[in-house]
Amino acid sequence: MIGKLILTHGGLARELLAAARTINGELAGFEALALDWNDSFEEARLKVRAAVERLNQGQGVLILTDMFGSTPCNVALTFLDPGKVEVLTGVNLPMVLRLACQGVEDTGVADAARWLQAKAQRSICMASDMAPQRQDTLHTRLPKLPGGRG
Amino acid sequence: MIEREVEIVNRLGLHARAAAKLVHTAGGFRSQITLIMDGEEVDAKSILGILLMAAAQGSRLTLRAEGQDEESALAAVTSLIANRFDEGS
Repeated sequence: MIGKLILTHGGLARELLAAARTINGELAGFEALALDWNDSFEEARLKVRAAVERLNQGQGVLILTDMFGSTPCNVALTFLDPGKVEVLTGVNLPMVLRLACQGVEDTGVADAARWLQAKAQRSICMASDMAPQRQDTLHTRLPKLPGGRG
Repeated sequence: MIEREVEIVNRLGLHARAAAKLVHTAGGFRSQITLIMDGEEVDAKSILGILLMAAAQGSRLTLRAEGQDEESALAAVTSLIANRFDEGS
């Protein structure tokens, strides 16, 4: 099984994983690591190294970081080992959920990262770009909230 | 290949937890299972595709299954939807 590490500053990583667990149920092979804002680069590296070692069962580790250029991402990049440890930036709930909901265990970690990148990019949409009949559906059929909503 | 018309009857429609249940149910079968709404087809084993359908309560979908276990796959997915994803409303 590919190891999946969600790596961010603050509590974001934990909350993303908690949300995905609430939606999907228990997730195997995942770990959330929320670095402390005051961690030094070396302290952060030690934490990430330990997590990568815990998660690596021989099929590699996919590190999902918050954004390119952030300290969590920069730390993750020091472990980049193409085909073994891959780093994908911009982690969000669709990414975690997609990875959780259907395994990618038959592919290598590099293929899994590319597959997830494509899925994630398609998951970001502007609602008004949707087909008109779909917008009508959203407007007229979403549950009515107490007190009314437009 | 078999198809069946279904209506989304739970109050919240195909929201995230319902979609996850659908994916898990569909994933238990070898058949390819497709949801079709307004001419748009999505893989029933892909949660992001299902969520992008934005199928609210009252939406009518066509379920299509193709494979060795297509009968039981369609029965399981139809039952899950009819049972409101076990949400109670």
